[in-house]
Amino acid sequence: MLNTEIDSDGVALVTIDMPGRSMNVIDWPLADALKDEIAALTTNESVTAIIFASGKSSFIAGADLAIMGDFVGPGTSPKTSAELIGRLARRFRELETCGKPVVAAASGTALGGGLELMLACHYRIAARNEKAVFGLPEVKLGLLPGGGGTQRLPRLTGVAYALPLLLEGKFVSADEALKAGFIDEIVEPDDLIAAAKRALKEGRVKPVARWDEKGFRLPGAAANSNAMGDQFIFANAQAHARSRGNYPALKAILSCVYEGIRLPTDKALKIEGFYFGHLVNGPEAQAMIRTLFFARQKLAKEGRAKVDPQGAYAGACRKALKDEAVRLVGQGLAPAFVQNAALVTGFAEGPLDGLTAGPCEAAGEGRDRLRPTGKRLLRAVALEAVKALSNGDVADADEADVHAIDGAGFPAYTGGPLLMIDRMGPAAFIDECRADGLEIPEALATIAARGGNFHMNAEGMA
Amino acid sequence: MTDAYIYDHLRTPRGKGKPDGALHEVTPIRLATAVLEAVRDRNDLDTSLVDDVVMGIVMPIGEQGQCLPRVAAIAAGYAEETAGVQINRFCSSGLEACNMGAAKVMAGQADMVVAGGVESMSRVPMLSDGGAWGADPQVAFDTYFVPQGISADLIATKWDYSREKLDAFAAESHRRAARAWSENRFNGSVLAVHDIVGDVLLDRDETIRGNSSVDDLAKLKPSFAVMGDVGGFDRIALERYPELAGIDHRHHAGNSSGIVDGAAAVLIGSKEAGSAAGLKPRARIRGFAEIGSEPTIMLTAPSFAAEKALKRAGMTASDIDLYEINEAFAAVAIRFIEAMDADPETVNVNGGAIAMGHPLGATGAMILGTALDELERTGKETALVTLCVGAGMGVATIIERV
Repeated sequence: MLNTEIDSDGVALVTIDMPGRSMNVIDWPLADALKDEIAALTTNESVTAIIFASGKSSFIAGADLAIMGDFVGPGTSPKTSAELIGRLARRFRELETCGKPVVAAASGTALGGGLELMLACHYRIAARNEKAVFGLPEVKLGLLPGGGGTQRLPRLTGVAYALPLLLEGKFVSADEALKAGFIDEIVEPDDLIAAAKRALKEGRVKPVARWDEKGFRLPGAAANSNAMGDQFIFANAQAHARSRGNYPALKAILSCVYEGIRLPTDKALKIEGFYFGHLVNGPEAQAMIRTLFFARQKLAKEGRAKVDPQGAYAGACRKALKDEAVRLVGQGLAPAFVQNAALVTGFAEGPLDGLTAGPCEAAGEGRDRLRPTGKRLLRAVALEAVKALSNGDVADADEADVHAIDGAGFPAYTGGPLLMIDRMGPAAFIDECRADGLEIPEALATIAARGGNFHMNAEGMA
Repeated sequence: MTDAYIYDHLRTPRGKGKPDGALHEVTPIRLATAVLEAVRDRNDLDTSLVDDVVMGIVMPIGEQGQCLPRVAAIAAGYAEETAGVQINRFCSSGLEACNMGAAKVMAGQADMVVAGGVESMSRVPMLSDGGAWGADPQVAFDTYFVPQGISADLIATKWDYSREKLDAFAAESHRRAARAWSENRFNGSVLAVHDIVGDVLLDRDETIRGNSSVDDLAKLKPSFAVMGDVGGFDRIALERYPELAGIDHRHHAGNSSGIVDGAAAVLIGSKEAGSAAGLKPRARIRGFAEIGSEPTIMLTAPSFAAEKALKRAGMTASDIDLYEINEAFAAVAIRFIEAMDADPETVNVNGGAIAMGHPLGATGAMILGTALDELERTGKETALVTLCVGAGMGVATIIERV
């Protein structure tokens, strides 16, 4: 997994090359191997410097999400999850503070934990590679980069640049990363290792991160400045407005940066770990990993990932949303209220578009009253997904979930309509639907009567 | 309980809060020192009788930092025994300073205080003190933070105050302020500010436009539309007010309070302390109250504070002859008038902050004084003074002529 060669100058070249995989991914065996290797190189007095490279055409593609199961097994809590992510995050910090200059030499793409490893090195070189992208996509699965990414990226680029990258999970090219300041050098692929050794030889790599040096100043606005406060006021509002407050990852990432930039590195990393532990134990992250990663990956393998937004299933979902919205208005709710309930609940489009602003009756505790209406809209669409599954418009529960999110704007934080039912329990879901006066499809009643759920018993639906 | 009386008050004129404003070259400590000196000198006051100087300062940093009221007291040559304290309840700080000073007197823990406030908004800009509410994600998300301008537009949308209605209110504020000056109604309480060679820098409020018209105001662009839309704040506000289909942005520089520089001082004491100083009380402080309200709409609490203060004083709205409501935004004042079912002719009869500006830390003390002067001018008895406050609060004070 790690092949280390030490040259006559004492430069240790550590090549990450996971057997049997086309790309390197971060999993526990790699994290543990890093621990041993970093410890050995740190204490080996003949080693003067370290280079991390990859045996693949990419550097590290991210974390193997199979490890996510360990964050939610029996007996886990935000605290245990924070400790568990430390199993990876501590390795990066050990590397960063090993006292010897460390260079990352990336042959290609570095994402998530892969980029975080690079950020923990003291100097970062990328091979010229048109296909290579760099980014921290954790937010797309309801997570945050828990390996120091929320701390080291802003310390390298400034907060203004780092926030969109962290909050949108954007990928950038090596050229852009160079411009932004989180890659130091781009070289021809066959020159990669030689360039790393040159940088070491020419003394361009300090054996310490700049944020661990006295007098470190954050690039851009200072942490305690008004300009920084203003950046956060707007970043918070935009993230809140965009996510409707439904995606706790955004708030957690913002807090990691807001709090972290004011702290020394070790304390900042600890804070990041706490927010990670809290986040990964939440229902949104669990549902998003389940559907947006595992289910989508399965559909992709089977050629079923692509959804036609104009297709029968997506159309039926949108129609179910609109019909229920109209029904609620018929029952006396203000159209604007129903529209806002749909939007605040996270539907991509309001079912009653084209409304104009105007006066209204006095409002009470807005969001608390919106929630029940929003949930009813979710249930109405979920019932449509049940029907689509039983009449064969979608092949299985995973397809129903992924296509409802991708094709019909169903809120992603739920993990999709059928996962939402499963997580609640079909029997409890039926009770809520009955309270709304919604009709229960036979397939749903059957599955509830059996005590089953859609994702385990998909075959039983035929 | 001891009664607290107002013996005197005065203020500086309000100077435009920009580099071309007349008071921009005057330090805030000089503004504060000037009103402390004036209130002492014109009352021939033995300052060893003054226990404390309580002043509102909303941006207590930089040259407004370091417990300015105490430093101003020693700079003004007050007795060494006179202490000083700076307080901040956002826009109501000047009135809050009076209430706190009065409360000390009422509780028998002070005999005489000078209360008031100072704010040089041209030198220490608004929002320069940071703070957690909007910036800390853990707080901003969960409390639905929006800036005040969004709240003001939310009020206007929710109660359907048209742009024309807001602009008409603003034009009237200018008309009334101009009339008050032309009839010398402020003369007894406004202290001209001089430069150090003795020439007058400013002797009247600088931002009044007596010929302001609804037609002219109609040309101004809404100030908070981009912030609401691109900034995302409209969506956040709508989460709390979901019956609204959107927020119509109707406030602008012309129907919102002006950014200005200024200071005010109010001399408050017990009956005994006043007579020991040879002073005649002008008004008794009947009661006061502060209250919190829903923080996203933020600016609707003046009527709640007023009701609470009335109840505490054993009074009803019908007992009040005159109101001063700080014109932070036109919709705030209109909402207050509606909520209290007040006669507009009894509210802000000499104009307000839309015309004359709102020097954050000082305004509350200024309008308390304006109310007292107007009671005396017209022979009326009672006034209620109130301000809306950031983060969803209101403060109100009731005075009665003696």
